[in-house]
Amino acid sequence: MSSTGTISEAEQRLPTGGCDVAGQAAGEARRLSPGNILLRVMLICIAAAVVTVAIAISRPYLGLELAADPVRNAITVKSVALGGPADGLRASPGTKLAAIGSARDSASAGQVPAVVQLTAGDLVEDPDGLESYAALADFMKRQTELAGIISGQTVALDFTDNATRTTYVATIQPRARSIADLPVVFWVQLLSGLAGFAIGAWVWSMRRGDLAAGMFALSGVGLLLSALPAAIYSTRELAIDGGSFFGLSVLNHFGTHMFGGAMIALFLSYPRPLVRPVWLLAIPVILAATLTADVTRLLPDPVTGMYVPMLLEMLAIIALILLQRWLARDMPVTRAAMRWLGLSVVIGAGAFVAAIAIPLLLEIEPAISQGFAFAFFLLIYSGIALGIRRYRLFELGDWSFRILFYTSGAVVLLVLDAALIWFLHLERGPALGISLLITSFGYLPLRDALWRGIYSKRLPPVHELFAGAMEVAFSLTRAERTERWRALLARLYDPLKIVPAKTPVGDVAVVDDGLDMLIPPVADSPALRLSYPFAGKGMFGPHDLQLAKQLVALVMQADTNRDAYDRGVLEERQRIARDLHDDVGARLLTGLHSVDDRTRPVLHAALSDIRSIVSGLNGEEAALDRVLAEARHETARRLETVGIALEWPAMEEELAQNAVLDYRQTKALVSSVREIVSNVMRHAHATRVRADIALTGTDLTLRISDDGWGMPADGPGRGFGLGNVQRRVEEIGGSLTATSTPGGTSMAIAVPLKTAGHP
Amino acid sequence: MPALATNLSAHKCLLVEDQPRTRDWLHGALTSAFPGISIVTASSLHEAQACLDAASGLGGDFTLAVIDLGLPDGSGIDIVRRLAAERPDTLSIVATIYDDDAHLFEAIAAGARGYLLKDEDVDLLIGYLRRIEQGEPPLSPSIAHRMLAHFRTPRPMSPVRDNAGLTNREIETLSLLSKGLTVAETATRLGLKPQTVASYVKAIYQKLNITSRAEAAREAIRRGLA
Repeated sequence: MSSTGTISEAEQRLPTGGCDVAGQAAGEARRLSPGNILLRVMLICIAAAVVTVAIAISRPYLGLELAADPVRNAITVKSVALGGPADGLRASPGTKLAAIGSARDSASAGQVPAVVQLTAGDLVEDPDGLESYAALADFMKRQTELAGIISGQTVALDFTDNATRTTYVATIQPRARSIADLPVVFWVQLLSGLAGFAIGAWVWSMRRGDLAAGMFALSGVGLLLSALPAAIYSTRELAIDGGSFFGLSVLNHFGTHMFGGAMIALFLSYPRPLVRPVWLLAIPVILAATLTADVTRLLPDPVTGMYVPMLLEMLAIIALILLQRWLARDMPVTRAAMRWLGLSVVIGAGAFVAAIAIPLLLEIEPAISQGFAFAFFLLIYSGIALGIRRYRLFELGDWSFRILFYTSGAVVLLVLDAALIWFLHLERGPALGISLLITSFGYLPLRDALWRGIYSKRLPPVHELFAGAMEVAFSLTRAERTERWRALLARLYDPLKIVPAKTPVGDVAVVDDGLDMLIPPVADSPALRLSYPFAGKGMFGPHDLQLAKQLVALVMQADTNRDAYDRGVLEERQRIARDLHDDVGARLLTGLHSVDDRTRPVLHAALSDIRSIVSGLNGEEAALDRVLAEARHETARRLETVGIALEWPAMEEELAQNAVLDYRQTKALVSSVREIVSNVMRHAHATRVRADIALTGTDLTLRISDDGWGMPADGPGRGFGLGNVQRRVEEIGGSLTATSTPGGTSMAIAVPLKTAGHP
Repeated sequence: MPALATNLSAHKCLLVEDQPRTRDWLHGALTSAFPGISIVTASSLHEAQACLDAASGLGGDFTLAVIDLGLPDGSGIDIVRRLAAERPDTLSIVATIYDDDAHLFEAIAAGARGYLLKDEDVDLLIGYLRRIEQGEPPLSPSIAHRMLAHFRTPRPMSPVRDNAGLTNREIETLSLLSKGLTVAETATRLGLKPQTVASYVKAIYQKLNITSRAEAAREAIRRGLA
């Protein structure tokens, strides 16, 4: 028993397990797309349904609906089918059908006509519930006799009227049953079997090679083999030949054990493998022995032969489900999935066992017909189908439903075709011409349009591909590029799944016999694995591979070109920045180191401007918090040299990080702060400077105040620097407010802002 | 700390600067900062390399190197790198007119232990020179910001991660500096002595150099060059 395995680990381990049952079985089918397989499955379903219905209606038919009366140990008429062979007989509901026999007049001379007295036991739905194998053998013998009588040309029916106690004999000619005569319980069993089989096969078609999915599909096959024979024999009118009955019954038992065994194997290996796959082979061995012992009547009675093993299988399944749930107690997702899967199985199969097997074991008459109880199995399979959607059972997701849609489309077309052929067949003769016209001008174009609508692979024209590739390569952000690349691949190949490839991919490659395609990393996207192309209906062919290669090359080329372009822009900017630095900067610096004090501030300002320009050459918008940090740093350094204290409190970071300044705003703001601080240093005779920043969603207010002498109302201070500040601030749509008192000056700059991403 | 300054004054300084006036000006600043220091000047990358070759032959090592980045025949970073590799004891200081990350980060990663802004007043410059020499390098907000980003980038395969990783205090220091606070203000904010914060900054410089060298080596191995 594995104590550490998880679902995915279990799946990875399977191929090396040496006994990949499902994988081996799937070896041949692996080359088909899931859609293709599912289409075949649908065809098998149709064929199985046709065969079952054909067998069911091939039995001779009396046209009586009979009911067992266990109290009187008799068979009574429940109703008479309208238009049936018995229509018109004086057989009111409740009339006892005492015996049937070959018609006296048709019996050949010298032979006593066969007459069989009927008992309630002749109508038993499934003989598995009989008390002994002897009773079973007797039952089969009587079935053979009854079937022999009914298959005669004429059948004599001995009725005993309930009220009058009079007996009378009626003679009828049995004929084949029509489809409409089959009872509802027949269809319930047929549909339950087919649905279980189809859902199992659907899961398997997408998870071939997965043991659990294989076992699930096998259980569906078992249900099919169990339900279809039961549908035939349990809805017989009165009797079918004992030999055929026995054969159908064995098939039913075989299917039942297959279902139970496959379910046990499923929960022995899913979600966590509990035993080595090779041990699973013990299940068919044990069940085959049980079946043989039952068929050869080595067991005490039929109930022990069938219902006891069924009950034990059910108990084993429940125990395994509980164990799996317990093992998954630390994995919430697996546990939720197990709860769902387990609940479906326990309620579905458990209800069947509880309704049929347990009453029979306790020798009580089951409350409902076994045929209707088959509908419980639909609970299992529809529950699992829902689980796939909700819990990604078997690692399948929403995408797996698309394939059902397309296959259903194909089946609809098939049925339309069949209906058309049938219609033409009926309308042979004068109407043939009209039929042909309708077919040629109405049906065929419609069918063609439907087919193309559902099935065609539409490859976009070359110029569209090129545009798509360029769109991918020249998207502005990485995320956008990745997203567009995926969208392009999805548009081209319509795969059911696109996931990052787990292994490195060097070049485009088609793997898993055309079911998957690997795409190398391009357009800032990781390597991708595309699974089940064309909505699961097709496979990756050489043409698709070629196209993908071209596309990857195209996007890579475009990527390179874009990179080169970006690099070129950057290099050019860097060159300009370098020239400014090396040439202009150096000259200014030389000047700075040789001129007098009056000119020095001008050169300083020029150098500062070059700094701003160089950082502006990056072309990027600057985050407000960064700009303010630089301004604060510069101010602090400058004030430090002249011994003026600075108070510049921190502000709300969130807002400052989101707000961005473009180059002009940055330059205006930084220059203004520089100018204001210069004024303070030169003229204010201050000892402290305080900066206050107020930020609303749309505006920044920066107030710089000092404790100096204040500005003379009309003095030289006003004209020198503040004009420049005012001009700069107004250029970016802001305003400057200066207030001056003898106790200090306060300059407030208000600047409108924009937030990142919302210019 | 005059003791240290005098100590250094007994040693040699390499000054690499191509503009004659600026070179003279820096020369003056260095002499004022460290009276008695002997200064060897070079006006190009080539000359600077030659100086280093000659000095290693004589065994007389430079204690200090002030290096301009934009030289006519290449970038001063080459000298910084060479000094870091060959004479780790030499204090490399980059002289620049830009204190933003684009210009200085690479130099610091290459092993520079401080930088000077060439348009500063000479008195201020002397102050900064002394501070750097005493182990208190400057750090502008943009460089601090860049360093924060650098150290926050996960380098999962780095063998020197533990040595190069910053301590919590160092990260606090960096993030306050990146908001524009000075070293003194940072110290007040953290309730530490300015010298302690200065030592964090010095440590950050060294750690950046260590991770950069480790990364360069790893890159070389990855490309099969080493």
